[in-house]
Amino acid sequence: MTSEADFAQHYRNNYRRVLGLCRHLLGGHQSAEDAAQEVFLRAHRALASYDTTRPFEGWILTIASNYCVDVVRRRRKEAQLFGSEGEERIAAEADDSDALGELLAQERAAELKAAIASLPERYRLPLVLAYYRDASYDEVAAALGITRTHAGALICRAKQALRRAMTPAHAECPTLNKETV
Amino acid sequence: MTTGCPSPLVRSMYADGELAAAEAAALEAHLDSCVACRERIGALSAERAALRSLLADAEPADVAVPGFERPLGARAVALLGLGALGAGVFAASVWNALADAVPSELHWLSPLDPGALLSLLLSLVLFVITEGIAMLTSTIELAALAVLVPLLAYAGAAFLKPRAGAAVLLSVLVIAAALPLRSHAFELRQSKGATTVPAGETIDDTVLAAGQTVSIDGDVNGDLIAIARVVTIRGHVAGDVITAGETVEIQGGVGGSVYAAGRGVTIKQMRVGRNLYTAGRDVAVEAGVEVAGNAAAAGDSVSVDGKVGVDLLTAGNALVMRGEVTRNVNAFGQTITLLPPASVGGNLVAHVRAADNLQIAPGATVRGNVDKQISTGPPGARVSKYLMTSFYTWQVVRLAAAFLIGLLLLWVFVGLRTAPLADAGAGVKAGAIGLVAAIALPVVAFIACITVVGIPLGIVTLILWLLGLYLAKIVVAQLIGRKLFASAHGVPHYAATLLAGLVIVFVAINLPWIGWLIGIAVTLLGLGMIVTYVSERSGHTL
Repeated sequence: MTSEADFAQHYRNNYRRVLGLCRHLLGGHQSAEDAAQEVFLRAHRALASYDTTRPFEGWILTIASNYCVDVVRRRRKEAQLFGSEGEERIAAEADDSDALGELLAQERAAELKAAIASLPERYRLPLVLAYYRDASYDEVAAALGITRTHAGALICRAKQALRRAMTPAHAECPTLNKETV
Repeated sequence: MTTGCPSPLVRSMYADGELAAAEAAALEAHLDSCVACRERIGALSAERAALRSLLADAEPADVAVPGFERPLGARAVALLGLGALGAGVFAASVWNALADAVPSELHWLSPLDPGALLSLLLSLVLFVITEGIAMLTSTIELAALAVLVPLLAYAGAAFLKPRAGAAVLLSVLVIAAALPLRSHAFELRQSKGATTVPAGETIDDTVLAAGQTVSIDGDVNGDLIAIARVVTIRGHVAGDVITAGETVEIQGGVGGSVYAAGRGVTIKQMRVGRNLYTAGRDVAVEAGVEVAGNAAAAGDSVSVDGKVGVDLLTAGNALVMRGEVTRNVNAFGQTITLLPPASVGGNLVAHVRAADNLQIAPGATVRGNVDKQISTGPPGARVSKYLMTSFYTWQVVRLAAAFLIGLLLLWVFVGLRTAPLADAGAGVKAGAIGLVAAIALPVVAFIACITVVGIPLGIVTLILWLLGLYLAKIVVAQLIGRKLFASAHGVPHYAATLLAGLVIVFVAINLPWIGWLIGIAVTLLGLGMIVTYVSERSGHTL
C-alpha cells in the first residue's frame, strides 16, 4: 500500500511513459490523454493490490496495456482481432532480407513513426507492447489473450509490414537493403 | 540460403531473444556455418534496436503533466458539503445585511435572467415542434434542388466548354431568385416598417409575420406567428395564434388556441376555438370574447370580462373579473375583485394575502364554493427577494441543475475539464471572443431567419446561443474550482471542482448591485472559452 503522496510522485514520474504507450496502442483514434488519466484512475482505485516490492512502472504499464487493448477490442466488433495463429505463422515465413537498418530508422524516423501508427491493430498492438514496453512474448501473449507463438508471428509480420511501408515499390532508397547499410 | 536454414519467424524470435533454449542452441550451431543467416540475424538485431529506440524516442518528453484528478472520497464529499453550506450561510447573512438597499427589480433588467431565457427557449421549442417537420421537408427539397441544378448546368456546360463557371453561377442565381416560390410550408411577411395582410386577402399557409408593426386584416387558414412592436389581428385565423409584442390586440376570431404575450395584451370581441393563454403587464379579455376551452391570464393588472367555456386560471397583482366562467376559477393575486355581472359556474379559489383582498360585489355570483386561501408572509409590504426562503430554494435548485448539466458536459467533453486560461491577457481575449459571439450569434440567426430556408438554421443558431449562455457559467465555475484546488498533489475530481466553482459563481452573480455585472462578465468569459474550445477541436485556432 502506498500513500497519496507516493502515488502523486509515481504519477508525475510515469505519466509521459503511460501517455506514450497509450498513444502508440490507440493509434490516434481516441485521446491518449484521456486514456492516460483513466489508467491512473484505475491504478488509484486498485492501489491496494499493488505490490510495492516491484517497480511501479511495470505495474502501471500493465494496467495501461490492458486498458488500451480492451479499448481496441471494444472498438472492433469482430471477435477475432488477432486473426488465426496458423495463417499468421505461415505468412510470417516471408523473406527477411530487407531488415530495417538503424541508420534508416534514424534518418526517416518521422516516416517510420507514421508507418507504425498506421499498422493494422493486430500488428501494432503486439509490436508496441514488445518494443515500447520491452515485454517478453509471454507478457505480450497474456495481454492480448493469444498464444506465445501467435504473438511471435504477429510481431514478425508487423516488422515485415513496416519494411514494406518503408520500401517504395521501385526502391527509391537503396540504403534499405541490408548489403548497403 | 539453403533449405537447412531456420525460417524467418525463427530468426525473428531469436533476434528478440525469445527462442526456447534448445532451439536457440540449434540455431547458434547453424550460424557457425551459415554466413547468410548470421548477417540476417545481425540485421534483425539492429532493426530491433532501431525500433526500440525509435519508440522510446517517440515518448512525448515535452508534454506537460496535467494534474491528476483523484476520485472523490467520502471525506472530500463531506468537506465540500460543509463548505457549500458555510458559503451559503455567509452569503445569506451578507445578503440580509444589504437587503434593504436592493431594488429587487434590478434583476429583471439583466439580459441573462434565466427565467426569460427559459421562456424564450420554450417558445422556440414549441415553434420547432409545430412547424419543424414542414420546414425541414421544404428545406431538404430546396437543398437537393440547389445541388442538382448547378451540377446539371456544369455537366451541360462541360460539353460546350467555355464559360462553364458562368453557367453554374447563373443557375445558382436562378435558384436563389426562385427561393421564395418554393416555400410551401410558410408565408413569410417581413419588413422594417409595417407588415400587413390586407383585408380581403386569404392565406392558406402558416403565416410568419415580423416587423415594426404587424396588422393582419385578411384571413389566415393556417397558424399565425406574429412578432412586432405593435401587433393587431383583425382577420380570422383558423389555426393557432402565437404572438408577442409591446402592444398586442386580437379581435378577428381564432379557430385554435391563442398564445399572446406583451406589455399590453387586449383580446376584443371574438371567439377562440380552443384555449387562451396570455401574459403581460396589462391583460384585458374584453366583454364579448368567448373562449371555448380554458383561459389562463397572468399580468400586473388582469381583467376578464368575456366568457370562458371551461376553467379560468389567473394570476396577477390586481385581478378584476366581470365575465362568465362556466366552471371553476383559480386566482392568485394581491387583490381579486368580482364585479357584476360576473358569474362563476363552479368554485372560486382565491389565493390572497388577506381575507379583505377578495371582494365579491353584490350582483356577482359564484354558484359553487368560495375558497379563500390566505398565503402567509409579511402582509402588504414589498419584500426583498433576499429575505424570501423561496429565493434560496430556487438558487439551490438552479445550482443543482447547473451541477448535473455541468457533470454531463464535462463527462462528454473531457477537454472542457481542463480548459485553460493562462493569464489576464487570455481572460480578456476570451471575454472579447465571448462578447463577439454573444452579439454575433443572434444577428446571424436573425439574418438566417429572414431568408425562409434559413429558418431552421437560425433556430439552431439561437438554441446554440442560449445553450452557450447557460453553459458559460459552468465552464467558468470549473476553471475557478480547478484554480482553487490545484495543489502539488494534483487536482481533485472534476465533480468537486465543478461544485465548488458553481457555488462561488452563484453567490457572486446573486450579489446585490454588482451581481448582474459579474453575471455578464462570467457569461462572456465562459462563452469565449467555449467558442475557443470548439474552434480548437475543429482544427482552427482563434
